[in-house]
Amino acid sequence: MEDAGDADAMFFPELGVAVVTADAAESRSLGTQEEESSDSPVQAVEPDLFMFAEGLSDDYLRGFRKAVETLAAEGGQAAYEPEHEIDPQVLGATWGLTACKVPPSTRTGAGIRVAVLDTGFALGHPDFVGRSIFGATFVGQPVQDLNGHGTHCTGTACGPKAPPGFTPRYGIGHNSQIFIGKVLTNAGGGTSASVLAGMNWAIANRCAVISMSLGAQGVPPQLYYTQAGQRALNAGCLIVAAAGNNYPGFTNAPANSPTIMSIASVDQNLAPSAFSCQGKVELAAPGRDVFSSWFMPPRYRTISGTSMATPHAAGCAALWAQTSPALRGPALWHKLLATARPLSYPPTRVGRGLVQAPL
Amino acid sequence: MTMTKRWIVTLSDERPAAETCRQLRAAGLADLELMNAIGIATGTADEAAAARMRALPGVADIAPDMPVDITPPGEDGPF
Repeated sequence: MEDAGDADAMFFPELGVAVVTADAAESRSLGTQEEESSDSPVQAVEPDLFMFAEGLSDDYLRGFRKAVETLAAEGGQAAYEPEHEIDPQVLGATWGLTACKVPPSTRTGAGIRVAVLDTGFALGHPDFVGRSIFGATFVGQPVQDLNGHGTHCTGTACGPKAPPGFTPRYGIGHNSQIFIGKVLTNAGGGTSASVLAGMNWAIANRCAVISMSLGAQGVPPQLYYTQAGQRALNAGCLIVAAAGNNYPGFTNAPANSPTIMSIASVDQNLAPSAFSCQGKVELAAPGRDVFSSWFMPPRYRTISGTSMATPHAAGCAALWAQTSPALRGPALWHKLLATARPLSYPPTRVGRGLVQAPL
Repeated sequence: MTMTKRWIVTLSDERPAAETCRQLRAAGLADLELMNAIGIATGTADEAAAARMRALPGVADIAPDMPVDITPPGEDGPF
């Protein structure tokens, strides 16, 4: 199992256990027949348990949490280090939250359901202890995020106000209700069908904000995404999606649909990020060098992309939604545009400007 | 052998979704899943069957499923 280091396989040497996807197991010729061979190093091959749209119980997580704690205590985090050291002198909030005026906001996202449709979430992450998290999978893998991307996006949109230790605040809607729709596999891929299934689930669960850091490049607006976005708005749900990272290419699908809000990325100097797509852009948000949660270890990572900008917009949308029950769907869309901070760049790169939190 | 693939069917409001789904099944759409909140159905069929479904009342569009991801193919980031 030495080569079990890819996104579809996770090896816990202290436990003598590996978790692999069916595809990864097949590629390594692992199967239940391995148990029958007396000289096989594999003692047992058992299916993981699926979890659907229910509250996630602590019992399910106990073993995982213990494994994580064991690995962390024995130096497992050395394999992954955040790209940037955190300077204790500048603790407070990430540059992205500060640029969006999140720290002075009195809003918390309380009572607002935020759906993050991505690679799942690192259930048991210590920064989210006590938070209610509802999960559903649409890709045939457990909600548990073995990729990290979904956990990072969720951290920005819904992470804690005061993470422990010397960690700056990186989360916006810290009292929001978290809905995790796993629409991308641990390898980071999916299809329109799985994304639509997640959108349908989030709308049926009345999530006021739906964040989608995903896309397909080089395709025109798809009628099915446009209709899903319109049905979402009609139901009081706002969908934000990543503009895409293939500049000078144009906005990816589904962000290129007129009923889905397209989010571009800006750097710390509030200039468009070099990778951020052009074309249909409603708003810009911090997307370069974004610090947020990751699976354990390393617990946190700093990464870039319109994927990271999108949950900044989603988190701010949740704070705005909390200010009034009338701010839902189209009204929330217009409020976000009306309160954006104008930037001196073409609307095709930054839309109406930088997303801002309410006071 | 005829190749089947997954299709995404956008339903119009001109008739009830359940009725349109019955017709889609009859026209050859297998493994049909109706997503009521967004008025969309998915299922598998071959190209010829999909072309026939396009003309059914209650069907606004039918398009092949396509890949979606978190980063441009072949790159490590940005995400």
